[in-house]
Amino acid sequence: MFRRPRSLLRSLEVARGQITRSSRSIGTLNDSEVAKFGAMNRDWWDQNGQNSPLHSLNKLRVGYVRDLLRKTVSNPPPGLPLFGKKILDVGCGGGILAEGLAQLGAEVTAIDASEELISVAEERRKRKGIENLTYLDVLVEDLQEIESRFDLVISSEVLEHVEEPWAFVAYCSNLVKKDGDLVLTTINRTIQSRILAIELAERFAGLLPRGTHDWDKFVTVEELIMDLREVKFRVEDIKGMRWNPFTNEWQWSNSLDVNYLLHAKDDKSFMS
Amino acid sequence: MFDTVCVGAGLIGGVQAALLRRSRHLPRPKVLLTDGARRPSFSSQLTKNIRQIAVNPGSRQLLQDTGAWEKLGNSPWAVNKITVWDSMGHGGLEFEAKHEENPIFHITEVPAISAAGVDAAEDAGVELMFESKLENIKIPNRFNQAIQDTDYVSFKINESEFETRLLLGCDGANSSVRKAAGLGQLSKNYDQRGFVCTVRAENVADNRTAFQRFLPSGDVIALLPCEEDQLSIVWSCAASKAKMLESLDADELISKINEYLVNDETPTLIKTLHNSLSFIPKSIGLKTEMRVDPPIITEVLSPTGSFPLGSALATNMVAPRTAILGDAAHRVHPFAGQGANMGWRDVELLTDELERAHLSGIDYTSQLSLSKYEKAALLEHAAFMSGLEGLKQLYKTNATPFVLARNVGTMLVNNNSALKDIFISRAS
Ligand SMILES: Cc1cc2nc3c(=O)[nH]c(=O)nc-3n(C[C@H](O)[C@H](O)[C@H](O)COP(=O)(O)OP(=O)(O)OC[C@H]3O[C@@H](n4cnc5c(N)ncnc54)[C@H](O)[C@@H]3O)c2cc1C
Repeated sequence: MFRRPRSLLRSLEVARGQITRSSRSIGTLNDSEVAKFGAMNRDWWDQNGQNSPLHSLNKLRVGYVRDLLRKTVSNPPPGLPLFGKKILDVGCGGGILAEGLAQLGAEVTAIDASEELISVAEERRKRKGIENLTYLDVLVEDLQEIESRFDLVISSEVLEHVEEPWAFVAYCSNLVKKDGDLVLTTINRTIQSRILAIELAERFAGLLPRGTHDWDKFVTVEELIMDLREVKFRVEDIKGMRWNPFTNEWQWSNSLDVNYLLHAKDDKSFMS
Repeated sequence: MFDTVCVGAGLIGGVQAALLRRSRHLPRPKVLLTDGARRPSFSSQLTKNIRQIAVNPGSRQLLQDTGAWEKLGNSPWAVNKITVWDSMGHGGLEFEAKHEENPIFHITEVPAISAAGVDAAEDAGVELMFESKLENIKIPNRFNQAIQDTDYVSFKINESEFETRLLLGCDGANSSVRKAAGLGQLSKNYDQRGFVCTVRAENVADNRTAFQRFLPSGDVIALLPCEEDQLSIVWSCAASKAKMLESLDADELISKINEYLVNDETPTLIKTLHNSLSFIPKSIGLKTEMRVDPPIITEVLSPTGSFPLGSALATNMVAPRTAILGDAAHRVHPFAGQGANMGWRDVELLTDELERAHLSGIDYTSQLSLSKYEKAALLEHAAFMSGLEGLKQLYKTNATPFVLARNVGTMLVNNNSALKDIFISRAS
């Protein structure tokens, strides 16, 4: 997904590693997708606006991460069940998910290819004085050299926009600590998703901006499982998610036909 | 910058402030509790306060959770029975708690609860500012593109400027927060007042029974026990009658009250009520057709006074970074005995939603969080107050029992556990 012209090359300090904005060739970046989201920056945080489903989706995705990791945090301070957990959010956009995780006490690093969106997110972070959250406008491939690894890497509603999903998944998985977790949410490539996400949501009802999704890019559950197997990640859980456009509420669902969440763990120790 | 500012340290404000600080699910917010009046204090035993209210079991639990209840010591007076009647000779109704350790409600002095709430808030680390009026309240726009939904409420106290992420209007019926936020209200004012005083009485046994008498004129007289031999009287009647009662000297008043308690009246209430009693909670026993032997008033112990009666319900309870609770959002006739209990219910509903939003990774001061509170609270109160129109009838016609039955019925349809015992509280 994330590659940028050389002119924007810059280096940033993260943890102990020195990161350079990449211009590598096997990029996962799709420039037109990035430009598309960058253009939505002004309304990013409007809970009634185009991103309203992303705001309300926090209930499921933040809730999932909270319940997954909370057992591993002993005596967290009140209201901070993820206290001290290191989380990477890949493709954070304007920071809706990243802030949600940071507000529960996690040490969040959030990256996105869009400079506009990172600056929206960073403005908000500064104004709100959130200290346990770092935004970087780099690509996931740029983080490969850093020494630190994360307790959990999450990439939510991004996979369906990247150029080479298998490479993207590999880059993400490589940043997970031993025994750490990888959580992905995306849209399945099915007839149902074609009808719901594109024909209905974008074209007919105008609930999402036109062109938000390109159906051919959607990733099926089977493809994702295969990609994870390549990098020796074992799938722990797959759940369907259903959005009600009238109430703007998300619910877990038994059907994986449209939106789904997948949780995988490093399987290397398991295999050997 | 505060996380939350609670305006008004009446029955609701202190409890709300304390609860936010004590929540295990919110990250220790920085909370300010402020009131235009002086810090409420526990009154001395010598001057009996004329305002007493019934605290139902749900509210008592909330007061316990916030640490306010224990500060009241043993002053709350447990009531185990309610007797409702409309005429002598014919049967009255009696509700009785099946276990003495679970009383139907506790009668407690209003200023003492406020004082306990403030003390509990202080213990929990809430900052306090009294004799401080909030001025220049500025509520932000719903969404400001330029700063991506990060604008907050600003206000002035004593010329100093403050900001808060969340403003809670607990400032009573005349709420300045409600006005600043431009929240509408539907209200009805009846030409009625609630006459109140505290008296000594005989014929009250251990004084654990509350009495309520319905009169064909539309008057409702409630006698709430508040010590071994003392009763707090709330007499809802026409404004002119309340004025008349206030003008009486002690002896005249005593004989007037006794007269109204024993005068025979046409029975209208009881028969209708019998037909609609299937909803009484299991923890409450019910006896009908009883002979009622009301207390006999012997002495007036407090000054007398009266309050205007009216009903009101806000059309909206939230605005950007702002919510209103308690009387600021709704008022009901004291015959329902629910005003404060409804307010404490708001405290529970709001705190639940704020916690839920926070744990879901949603800014708990944002619209997504507050609108859930509004929906929950309005749903509950609108069902409760669908008797609003009915209440108007109550004061115009003799159809008290119909109104009573209807209100109770609506509430039970609502099927809310906290409201299950409502009939009991209503009759207080
Ligand atoms: C006669 C009568 C009998 C009643 N009996 C019962 C009963 O039996 N059971 C029951 O549950 N309820 C009863 N009620 C209702 C109950 O008293 C109210 O519902 C309750 O007091 C509401 O609490 P509150 O905190 O919302 O408002 P209040 O208790 O009115 O407190 C509001 C506070 O806000 C402060 N304030 C106001 N404006 C500002 C401002 N601009 N800046 C700063 N501070 C401000 C005030 O000083 C006050 O301290 C009765 C009411 C009446 C009139």
